[in-house]
Amino acid sequence: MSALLSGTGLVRRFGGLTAINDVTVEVREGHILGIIGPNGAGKTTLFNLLSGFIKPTRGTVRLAEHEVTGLRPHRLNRLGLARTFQLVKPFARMSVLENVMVGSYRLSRDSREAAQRAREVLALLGMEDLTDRPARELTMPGMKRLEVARALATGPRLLLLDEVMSGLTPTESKAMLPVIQRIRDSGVTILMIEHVMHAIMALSDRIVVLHHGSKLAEGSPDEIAANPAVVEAYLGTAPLGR
Amino acid sequence: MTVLAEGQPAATGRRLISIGLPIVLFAVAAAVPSFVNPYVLEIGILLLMYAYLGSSWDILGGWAGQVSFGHAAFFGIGAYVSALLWINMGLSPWFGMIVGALIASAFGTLVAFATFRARLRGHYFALAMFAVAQMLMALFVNLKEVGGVTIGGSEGLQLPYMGTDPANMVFDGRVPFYYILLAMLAVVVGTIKLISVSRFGAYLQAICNDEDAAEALGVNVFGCKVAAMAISAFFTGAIGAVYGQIYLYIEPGIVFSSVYSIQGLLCAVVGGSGTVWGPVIGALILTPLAEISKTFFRDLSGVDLMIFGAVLVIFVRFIPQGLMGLVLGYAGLRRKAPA
Amino acid sequence: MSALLFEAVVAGVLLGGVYGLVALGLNIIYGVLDIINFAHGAMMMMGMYLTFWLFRAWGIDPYLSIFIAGPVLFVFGAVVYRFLLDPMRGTALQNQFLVTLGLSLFLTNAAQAMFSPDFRVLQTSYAQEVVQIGPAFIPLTRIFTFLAALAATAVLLFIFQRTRLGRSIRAVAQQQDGAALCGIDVRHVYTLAFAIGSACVGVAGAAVTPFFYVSPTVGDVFNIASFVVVVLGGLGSMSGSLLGGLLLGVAVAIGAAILPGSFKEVLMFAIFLAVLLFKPTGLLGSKA
Ligand SMILES: Nc1ncnc2c1ncn2[C@@H]1O[C@H](COP(=O)(O)OP(=O)(O)OP(=O)(O)O)[C@@H](O)[C@H]1O
Ligand SMILES: [Mg+2]
Repeated sequence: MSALLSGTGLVRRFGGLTAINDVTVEVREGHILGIIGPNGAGKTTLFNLLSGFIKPTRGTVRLAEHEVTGLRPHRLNRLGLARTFQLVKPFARMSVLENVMVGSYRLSRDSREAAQRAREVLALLGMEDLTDRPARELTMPGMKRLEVARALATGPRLLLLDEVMSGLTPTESKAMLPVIQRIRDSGVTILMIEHVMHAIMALSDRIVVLHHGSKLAEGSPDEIAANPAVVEAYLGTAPLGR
Repeated sequence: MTVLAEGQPAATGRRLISIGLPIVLFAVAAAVPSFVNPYVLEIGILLLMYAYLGSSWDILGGWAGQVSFGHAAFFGIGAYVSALLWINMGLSPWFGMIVGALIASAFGTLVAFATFRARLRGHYFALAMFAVAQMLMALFVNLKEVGGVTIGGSEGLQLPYMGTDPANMVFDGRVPFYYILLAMLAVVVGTIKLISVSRFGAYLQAICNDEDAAEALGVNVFGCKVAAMAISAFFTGAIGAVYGQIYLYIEPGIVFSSVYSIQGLLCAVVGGSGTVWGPVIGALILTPLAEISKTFFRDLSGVDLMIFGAVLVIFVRFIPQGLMGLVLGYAGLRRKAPA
Repeated sequence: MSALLFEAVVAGVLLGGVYGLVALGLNIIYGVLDIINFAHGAMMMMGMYLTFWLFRAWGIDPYLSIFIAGPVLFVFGAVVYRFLLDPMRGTALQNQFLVTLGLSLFLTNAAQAMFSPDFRVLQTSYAQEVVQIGPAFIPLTRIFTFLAALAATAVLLFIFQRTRLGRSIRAVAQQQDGAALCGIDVRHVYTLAFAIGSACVGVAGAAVTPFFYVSPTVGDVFNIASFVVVVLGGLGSMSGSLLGGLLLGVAVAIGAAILPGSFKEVLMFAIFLAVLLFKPTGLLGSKA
């Protein structure tokens, strides 16, 4: 199988700071690729590059058969790439359903159909009870799930999840695992950033480790767990499995 | 968005209200001229004009969340285009109104391209619009004539009057204008209603809430903002043309003045921006308020605008969601979970 | 350069000093609070009327009124901030902007209701004195005003660079949360910043009255000018304000000398739009 999404030789500088330094990643169709790394490693910046929110200083991004470097995010979304935001961005003055409908309108112009699809997605995420709540009233875990629901409602082939489990209690994050598995089983390829180690170890087919903007390691969860360089990078900051 | 209501049993009653109430409202408004004296009719005309301006403004300012301080630019363009076409080419203002609206819309699109491409947001966009309107005013003040066509400079343009002439939108009394404005208001409110239940409306609201999130969900943020500007400018331009026909006189100091920019903004903010009826409700409150204050302080010019300023401050400070928002907010409050 | 043009340039530089001071006030408010004060011009108008009536009633020299109008506007600004703007901190930024729009509408039309829309001119005994600079004859009042504006700007720069107060204001401007952690009362600093910004227009208003007409809408001229200067000179850059002010003063003066009618206003707005559209990053983007 070939790569659904690939970033090749990506470099991104902010003034003097090189946030991403010559990183190459590939996500295979149907896989879950995990991205881990200490705070400030450049994970979110990599997502921003892949999803079109910032332009790479160097390097290219390909989505399936398209070269998409520099395309605006909404164009990328139309090509099947959806993302969530680590710092959640709910449409605060709209209801939960309306939030998700903004996503599902991607698939149908018809309001009734869009609402129908939005309800299905909300059900998948176990958010039926929240349907008519104003989004601003959600708790943080609720907002994280809303991020996923909205992105999923656009009917993506590829989903980029930026720390959708951090800030959740262990019970809540455990409840998230089967949801993500179900999303993958429905045929969506996933690229996820996560600090919650047990989750990323359990879900990922492969893992990429970023450190100071560079790729430190890549491999299966077992390989990564056994990699001394990774352990050191983490021990230098925060312990594994926090 | 009212999509929420669809498919729920309780929605039937609400739908009846949402269709019936406007019909009743417009029927009552249509009956008004038969009962009132010319003075009240004049207020009615102002009210309709402000409700219309507020609704037009709100498509961009409330729905798309791009607050503009310069919609007088479109008002003035509509007024001048229609008047110049009529005076110089004999084109009936009925068509001139459409042409004026289209040109205002084209101009709005141009401005939107420039400002939104430059990523102007929030107060920068508002100020840029303010500058655009003021610049047009300064420009027209200085334009006496262009290529043999009299523009009139600061003195403005007198529109020809040769008795009642319905084909050219000239009437002796004010009653016909009342109905013209009422019909136009119905068109704008109807358009907003359609927008509110459409994908476009949802996209505009999303943009108003968070542009990045909207963009990530596949919303062409730039395109939607430009479209909102084009529609908003179109409607604003159309009423500029009608203004010229009502008073048969236009001058840059009036048609491009910030009064027409702020009037629409005020009605929307007071009534509740980003709602279908908010701007109309705002006009229903503000117009009588202005009239009352004018009669009360007969010899003081500016009192009405002074009160408007105070109203704007008070509303933004204490009821930023406006009256409609307050009402809709209470509905939401009932669903609020115990904290 | 013809004498006429030279005179225009000198006059432009002199008025530019005032633009600079007004813009500095706007810039302080923006830099610290992220609020563009749309009522800035209207507040300057308040200072001008105050100066005008002090002169009418008690013959107080307008340059002396600087020391009255400045403090009065300082207090006014503090009150406006404390009661109207501060409670809305944390809500959409546009709300604060709309409040200043409402305030401007209120002040302008209150002045119109109280003082009529008439243009008034304050006639000092020395209004007609001129000074010869090269081939140009420059009214003495213009020079006084320029010097007053420069002095006020210098005082402000000193406050901001050298005093504890200035440092804490700058600290808050850069890092609100951090400053709060260091024990700085953020709300107090915000109030002070708005008050100081307002005092600038009080001073500027008093200083221009010897040669500038007074009317309810006179603030509009300075309002838009200060917006232009602020984007020209750079948001948050204090010395940029002075430079931008001088630049705009000259540009408008030359425009007025060579363009017919009141095209200089068109020019002013055109400059404003051009800067907004073509130089947004660095000037605006840094704050976004
Ligand atoms: N727009 C920006 N401008 C300047 N610097 C930035 C910008 N975005 C990110 N950075 C810097 O790039 C570096 C990487 O940040 P990034 O947010 O990608 O880290 P991260 O791996 O997602 O961290 P975390 O685990 O905390 O989310 C940081 O030093 C950050 O300060
Ligand atoms: Mg991150």
